[in-house]
Amino acid sequence: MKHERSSDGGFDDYAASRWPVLVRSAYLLGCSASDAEDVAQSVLLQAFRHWRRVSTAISPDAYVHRMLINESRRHLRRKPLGAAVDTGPSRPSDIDPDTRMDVRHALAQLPEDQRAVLVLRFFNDLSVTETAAAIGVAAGTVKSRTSRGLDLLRAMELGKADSST
Amino acid sequence: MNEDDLRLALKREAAVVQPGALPHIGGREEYDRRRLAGVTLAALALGGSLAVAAWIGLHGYASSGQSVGFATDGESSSGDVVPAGCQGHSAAVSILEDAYPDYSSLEDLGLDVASRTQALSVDSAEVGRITPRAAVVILMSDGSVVAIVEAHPSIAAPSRWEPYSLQTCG
Repeated sequence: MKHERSSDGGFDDYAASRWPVLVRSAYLLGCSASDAEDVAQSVLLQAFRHWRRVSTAISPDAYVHRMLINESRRHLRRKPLGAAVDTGPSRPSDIDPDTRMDVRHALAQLPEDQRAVLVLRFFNDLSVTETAAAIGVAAGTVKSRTSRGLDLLRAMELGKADSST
Repeated sequence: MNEDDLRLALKREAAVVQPGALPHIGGREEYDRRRLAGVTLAALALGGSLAVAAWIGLHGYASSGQSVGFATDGESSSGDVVPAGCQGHSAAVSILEDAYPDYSSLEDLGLDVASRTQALSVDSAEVGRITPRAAVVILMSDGSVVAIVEAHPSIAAPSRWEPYSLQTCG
Protein backbone atom coordinates (compact mmCIF):
# COMPACT_ATOMS: atom_id res chain seq x y z
CA MET A 1 0.00 0.00 0.00
CA LYS A 2 1.19 3.44 -0.76
CA HIS A 3 2.60 5.47 2.07
CA GLU A 4 0.25 8.39 1.96
CA ARG A 5 2.34 10.77 3.99
CA SER A 6 5.08 10.62 1.43
CA SER A 7 2.67 11.85 -1.17
CA ASP A 8 1.41 14.40 1.31
CA GLY A 9 4.50 16.52 1.24
CA GLY A 10 7.43 14.14 1.46
CA PHE A 11 8.05 14.01 5.19
CA ASP A 12 9.98 10.77 4.90
CA ASP A 13 12.33 12.14 2.31
CA TYR A 14 12.80 15.32 4.26
CA ALA A 15 13.54 13.44 7.49
CA ALA A 16 16.01 11.12 5.81
CA SER A 17 17.85 13.93 4.10
CA ARG A 18 18.03 16.25 7.11
CA TRP A 19 18.71 13.71 9.83
CA PRO A 20 22.53 13.88 9.75
CA VAL A 21 22.56 17.67 9.56
CA LEU A 22 20.15 18.02 12.45
CA VAL A 23 22.16 15.65 14.63
CA ARG A 24 25.40 17.45 13.85
CA SER A 25 23.84 20.85 14.41
CA ALA A 26 22.61 19.79 17.83
CA TYR A 27 26.10 18.52 18.55
CA LEU A 28 27.63 21.87 17.64
CA LEU A 29 25.05 23.61 19.78
CA GLY A 30 26.42 21.77 22.77
CA CYS A 31 24.66 18.42 23.03
CA SER A 32 26.64 15.22 23.38
CA ALA A 33 26.66 13.02 20.30
CA SER A 34 24.02 10.68 21.71
CA ASP A 35 21.89 13.51 23.08
CA ALA A 36 22.12 15.19 19.70
CA GLU A 37 20.38 12.19 18.17
CA ASP A 38 17.61 12.43 20.75
CA VAL A 39 17.20 16.12 20.09
CA ALA A 40 17.11 15.58 16.33
CA GLN A 41 14.51 12.84 16.74
CA SER A 42 12.35 15.09 18.85
CA VAL A 43 12.62 17.79 16.24
CA LEU A 44 11.62 15.44 13.47
CA LEU A 45 8.67 14.26 15.49
CA GLN A 46 7.59 17.87 15.97
CA ALA A 47 8.04 18.46 12.27
CA PHE A 48 5.95 15.38 11.55
CA ARG A 49 3.18 16.63 13.79
CA HIS A 50 3.14 20.00 12.08
CA TRP A 51 4.22 18.81 8.69
CA ARG A 52 1.61 20.66 6.73
CA ARG A 53 2.68 23.94 8.27
CA VAL A 54 6.37 23.10 7.99
CA SER A 55 6.24 21.96 4.41
CA THR A 56 4.36 25.02 3.27
CA ALA A 57 6.58 27.46 5.10
CA ILE A 58 8.64 29.86 3.02
CA SER A 59 11.74 28.10 4.28
CA PRO A 60 11.00 24.70 5.79
CA ASP A 61 14.62 24.43 6.85
CA ALA A 62 14.44 27.67 8.78
CA TYR A 63 11.27 26.42 10.45
CA VAL A 64 12.87 23.12 11.41
CA HIS A 65 16.05 24.78 12.58
CA ARG A 66 14.01 26.98 14.82
CA MET A 67 12.60 23.82 16.36
CA LEU A 68 16.13 22.50 16.69
CA ILE A 69 17.43 25.59 18.44
CA ASN A 70 14.51 25.52 20.87
CA GLU A 71 14.76 21.79 21.50
CA SER A 72 18.52 21.97 22.03
CA ARG A 73 18.04 24.85 24.41
CA ARG A 74 15.40 22.93 26.35
CA HIS A 75 17.63 19.89 26.42
CA LEU A 76 20.67 21.77 27.65
CA ARG A 77 18.66 23.53 30.33
CA ARG A 78 17.50 20.21 31.66
CA LYS A 79 21.11 19.25 32.28
CA PRO A 80 22.46 19.57 35.81
CA LEU A 81 24.00 22.88 36.67
CA GLY A 82 27.56 23.06 35.49
CA ALA A 83 26.99 20.55 32.74
CA ALA A 84 24.92 22.75 30.52
CA VAL A 85 27.02 22.35 27.43
CA ASP A 86 28.76 19.16 26.55
CA THR A 87 32.11 19.87 25.05
CA GLY A 88 33.69 16.59 25.98
CA PRO A 89 37.31 16.29 26.91
CA SER A 90 39.64 18.31 24.71
CA ARG A 91 41.96 16.07 22.76
CA PRO A 92 44.73 16.93 20.33
CA SER A 93 42.48 15.71 17.52
CA ASP A 94 39.86 18.30 18.54
CA ILE A 95 42.15 21.13 17.60
CA ASP A 96 41.31 22.48 14.20
CA PRO A 97 44.48 22.60 12.08
CA ASP A 98 43.70 26.01 10.61
CA THR A 99 42.25 27.88 13.54
CA ARG A 100 44.29 25.92 16.11
CA MET A 101 41.21 25.89 18.30
CA ASP A 102 38.87 23.29 19.71
CA VAL A 103 36.00 24.85 17.86
CA ARG A 104 33.24 23.18 19.77
CA HIS A 105 34.79 24.11 23.08
CA ALA A 106 35.16 27.68 21.86
CA LEU A 107 31.54 27.77 20.72
CA ALA A 108 30.47 26.61 24.14
CA GLN A 109 32.06 29.70 25.65
CA LEU A 110 29.85 31.97 23.58
CA PRO A 111 26.49 33.27 24.71
CA GLU A 112 23.71 30.94 23.58
CA ASP A 113 22.25 33.34 21.04
CA GLN A 114 25.58 33.98 19.35
CA ARG A 115 26.41 30.28 19.24
CA ALA A 116 23.09 29.55 17.56
CA VAL A 117 23.62 32.22 14.95
CA LEU A 118 27.11 31.02 14.09
CA VAL A 119 26.00 27.40 13.77
CA LEU A 120 23.04 28.29 11.59
CA ARG A 121 24.99 30.61 9.35
CA PHE A 122 28.29 28.80 8.99
CA PHE A 123 27.43 25.15 9.50
CA ASN A 124 23.90 25.06 8.14
CA ASP A 125 24.71 27.70 5.55
CA LEU A 126 21.51 29.61 6.17
CA SER A 127 21.40 33.14 4.85
CA VAL A 128 21.03 36.09 7.18
CA THR A 129 17.34 36.23 6.32
CA GLU A 130 16.83 32.51 6.90
CA THR A 131 18.75 32.66 10.15
CA ALA A 132 16.64 35.58 11.27
CA ALA A 133 13.51 33.60 10.48
CA ALA A 134 14.85 30.54 12.27
CA ILE A 135 15.66 32.43 15.43
CA GLY A 136 12.80 34.87 15.27
CA VAL A 137 14.82 38.07 15.29
CA ALA A 138 15.55 40.85 12.81
CA ALA A 139 18.23 40.46 10.17
CA GLY A 140 20.21 43.23 11.81
CA THR A 141 20.28 41.28 15.04
CA VAL A 142 21.66 38.26 13.21
CA LYS A 143 24.40 40.41 11.73
CA SER A 144 25.36 41.92 15.07
CA ARG A 145 25.35 38.54 16.81
CA THR A 146 27.47 37.11 14.03
CA SER A 147 29.92 39.94 14.36
CA ARG A 148 30.13 39.70 18.13
CA GLY A 149 30.44 35.92 18.02
CA LEU A 150 33.26 36.07 15.53
CA ASP A 151 34.99 38.73 17.57
CA LEU A 152 34.86 36.53 20.64
CA LEU A 153 36.20 33.56 18.72
CA ARG A 154 39.03 35.70 17.38
CA ALA A 155 39.81 36.85 20.88
CA MET A 156 39.95 33.25 22.03
CA GLU A 157 42.14 32.39 19.07
CA LEU A 158 44.51 35.20 19.93
CA GLY A 159 44.51 34.13 23.54
CA LYS A 160 45.51 30.64 22.50
CA ALA A 161 48.24 31.99 20.29
CA ASP A 162 49.55 34.20 23.08
CA SER A 163 49.57 31.42 25.63
CA SER A 164 51.38 29.06 23.28
CA THR A 165 54.23 31.48 22.59
CA MET B 1 39.40 33.75 12.24
CA ASN B 2 37.23 34.79 9.36
CA GLU B 3 33.90 33.41 8.23
CA ASP B 4 35.45 30.89 5.87
CA ASP B 5 37.76 29.59 8.58
CA LEU B 6 34.83 29.12 10.91
CA ARG B 7 32.73 27.44 8.22
CA LEU B 8 35.49 24.95 7.53
CA ALA B 9 36.20 24.35 11.20
CA LEU B 10 32.54 23.72 11.98
CA LYS B 11 32.15 21.26 9.16
CA ARG B 12 35.28 19.42 10.23
CA GLU B 13 34.11 19.30 13.83
CA ALA B 14 30.62 18.14 12.91
CA ALA B 15 32.00 15.41 10.68
CA VAL B 16 33.29 13.72 13.83
CA VAL B 17 29.69 12.78 14.62
CA GLN B 18 28.38 9.88 12.60
CA PRO B 19 24.64 9.79 13.20
CA GLY B 20 23.07 6.39 13.52
CA ALA B 21 20.56 5.23 11.01
CA LEU B 22 17.19 6.87 11.20
CA PRO B 23 15.46 5.89 13.38
CA HIS B 24 17.98 5.24 16.09
CA ILE B 25 17.40 1.65 16.97
CA GLY B 26 19.83 -1.08 17.61
CA GLY B 27 19.04 -4.01 15.43
CA ARG B 28 16.05 -6.28 15.30
CA GLU B 29 16.42 -7.74 18.77
CA GLU B 30 16.68 -4.33 20.36
CA TYR B 31 13.82 -3.13 18.21
CA ASP B 32 11.57 -5.96 19.37
CA ARG B 33 12.44 -5.35 22.99
CA ARG B 34 11.67 -1.68 22.68
CA ARG B 35 8.52 -2.35 20.74
CA LEU B 36 7.23 -4.66 23.42
CA ALA B 37 7.97 -2.06 26.07
CA GLY B 38 6.51 0.68 23.93
CA VAL B 39 3.24 -1.07 23.22
CA THR B 40 2.80 -1.93 26.86
CA LEU B 41 3.53 1.61 28.00
CA ALA B 42 1.23 3.03 25.38
CA ALA B 43 -1.57 0.78 26.55
CA LEU B 44 -0.94 1.85 30.12
CA ALA B 45 -1.04 5.49 29.15
CA LEU B 46 -4.34 4.93 27.46
CA GLY B 47 -5.88 3.77 30.69
CA GLY B 48 -5.39 0.04 30.63
CA SER B 49 -4.54 -1.89 33.73
CA LEU B 50 -1.09 -3.31 33.99
CA ALA B 51 -2.36 -6.80 33.23
CA VAL B 52 -4.26 -5.67 30.18
CA ALA B 53 -1.41 -3.52 29.06
CA ALA B 54 0.99 -6.39 29.42
CA TRP B 55 -1.35 -8.59 27.46
CA ILE B 56 -1.61 -6.03 24.74
CA GLY B 57 2.12 -5.68 24.64
CA LEU B 58 2.79 -9.37 24.63
CA HIS B 59 0.04 -10.14 22.19
CA GLY B 60 1.12 -7.41 19.88
CA TYR B 61 4.67 -8.59 20.18
CA ALA B 62 3.83 -12.21 19.59
CA SER B 63 1.51 -11.47 16.75
CA SER B 64 3.80 -9.36 14.71
CA GLY B 65 3.29 -10.13 11.10
CA GLN B 66 -0.38 -10.96 11.33
CA SER B 67 -3.61 -9.29 12.28
CA VAL B 68 -3.81 -8.79 15.98
CA GLY B 69 -6.49 -7.89 18.43
CA PHE B 70 -6.19 -5.17 21.00
CA ALA B 71 -8.14 -5.49 24.21
CA THR B 72 -9.01 -2.23 25.84
CA ASP B 73 -11.82 -3.13 28.21
CA GLY B 74 -9.89 -5.33 30.58
CA GLU B 75 -12.13 -8.30 29.90
CA SER B 76 -11.89 -9.38 26.39
CA SER B 77 -8.79 -10.52 24.70
CA SER B 78 -10.30 -10.14 21.31
CA GLY B 79 -10.59 -6.36 21.15
CA ASP B 80 -10.54 -4.71 17.83
CA VAL B 81 -9.15 -6.72 15.03
CA VAL B 82 -7.42 -4.54 12.59
CA PRO B 83 -7.32 -6.04 9.16
CA ALA B 84 -4.42 -5.31 6.90
CA GLY B 85 -5.12 -2.20 4.92
CA CYS B 86 -7.34 -0.67 7.58
CA GLN B 87 -6.83 3.02 7.97
CA GLY B 88 -5.00 3.84 11.15
CA HIS B 89 -7.34 6.66 11.98
CA SER B 90 -10.48 4.63 12.45
CA ALA B 91 -8.60 1.93 14.29
CA ALA B 92 -7.07 4.42 16.68
CA VAL B 93 -10.37 6.18 17.25
CA SER B 94 -12.07 2.89 17.96
CA ILE B 95 -9.49 1.91 20.51
CA LEU B 96 -9.51 5.28 22.19
CA GLU B 97 -13.27 5.36 22.40
CA ASP B 98 -13.16 1.95 24.02
CA ALA B 99 -10.55 3.15 26.43
CA TYR B 100 -12.47 6.27 27.36
CA PRO B 101 -16.17 5.39 27.17
CA ASP B 102 -17.15 8.25 29.47
CA TYR B 103 -16.00 10.88 27.08
CA SER B 104 -18.33 12.12 24.44
CA SER B 105 -15.58 12.94 22.04
CA LEU B 106 -11.90 12.49 21.72
CA GLU B 107 -11.49 16.23 21.72
CA ASP B 108 -12.60 16.20 25.34
CA LEU B 109 -9.46 14.30 26.06
CA GLY B 110 -7.36 16.75 24.19
CA LEU B 111 -6.52 14.02 21.77
CA ASP B 112 -5.77 15.09 18.31
CA VAL B 113 -6.08 11.82 16.56
CA ALA B 114 -7.18 12.78 13.13
CA SER B 115 -4.26 14.89 12.11
CA ARG B 116 -1.85 12.23 13.22
CA THR B 117 -3.45 9.21 11.80
CA GLN B 118 -5.76 9.89 8.93
CA ALA B 119 -2.99 9.71 6.42
CA LEU B 120 -1.55 6.53 7.82
CA SER B 121 -2.30 3.06 6.76
CA VAL B 122 -1.50 -0.18 8.41
CA ASP B 123 1.57 -0.85 6.40
CA SER B 124 2.98 2.62 6.62
CA ALA B 125 5.83 3.55 8.89
CA GLU B 126 6.51 6.70 10.77
CA VAL B 127 9.45 8.04 12.60
CA GLY B 128 8.44 8.67 16.14
CA ARG B 129 9.38 8.62 19.71
CA ILE B 130 7.49 8.28 22.91
CA THR B 131 7.78 11.46 24.87
CA PRO B 132 6.33 12.38 28.25
CA ARG B 133 3.32 13.86 26.53
CA ALA B 134 2.72 11.44 23.79
CA ALA B 135 1.31 7.99 23.80
CA VAL B 136 1.72 5.77 20.84
CA VAL B 137 -0.91 3.40 19.66
CA ILE B 138 0.68 0.67 17.73
CA LEU B 139 -1.42 -1.62 15.66
CA MET B 140 0.34 -4.35 13.88
CA SER B 141 -1.04 -6.33 11.08
CA ASP B 142 2.21 -6.55 9.24
CA GLY B 143 4.57 -5.37 11.90
CA SER B 144 4.03 -1.71 11.19
CA VAL B 145 3.16 1.31 13.21
CA VAL B 146 -0.09 2.88 12.20
CA ALA B 147 -0.94 5.56 14.66
CA ILE B 148 0.81 8.18 16.63
CA VAL B 149 -1.50 9.79 19.12
CA GLU B 150 -0.68 12.79 21.16
CA ALA B 151 -2.08 12.55 24.65
CA HIS B 152 -3.23 15.39 26.81
CA PRO B 153 -0.84 16.11 29.69
CA SER B 154 -3.57 15.22 32.13
CA ILE B 155 -3.41 11.64 31.05
CA ALA B 156 -1.20 9.83 33.44
CA ALA B 157 2.07 8.92 31.92
CA PRO B 158 5.24 7.44 33.29
CA SER B 159 7.56 10.13 34.52
CA ARG B 160 10.14 9.14 32.04
CA TRP B 161 9.42 7.24 28.90
CA GLU B 162 12.16 5.30 27.34
CA PRO B 163 13.03 6.81 24.01
CA TYR B 164 11.42 4.59 21.49
CA SER B 165 11.89 4.80 17.81
CA LEU B 166 9.24 3.60 15.49
CA GLN B 167 9.90 2.05 12.19
CA THR B 168 8.37 -0.52 10.00
CA CYS B 169 9.45 -4.10 10.44
CA GLY B 170 9.04 -4.92 6.82
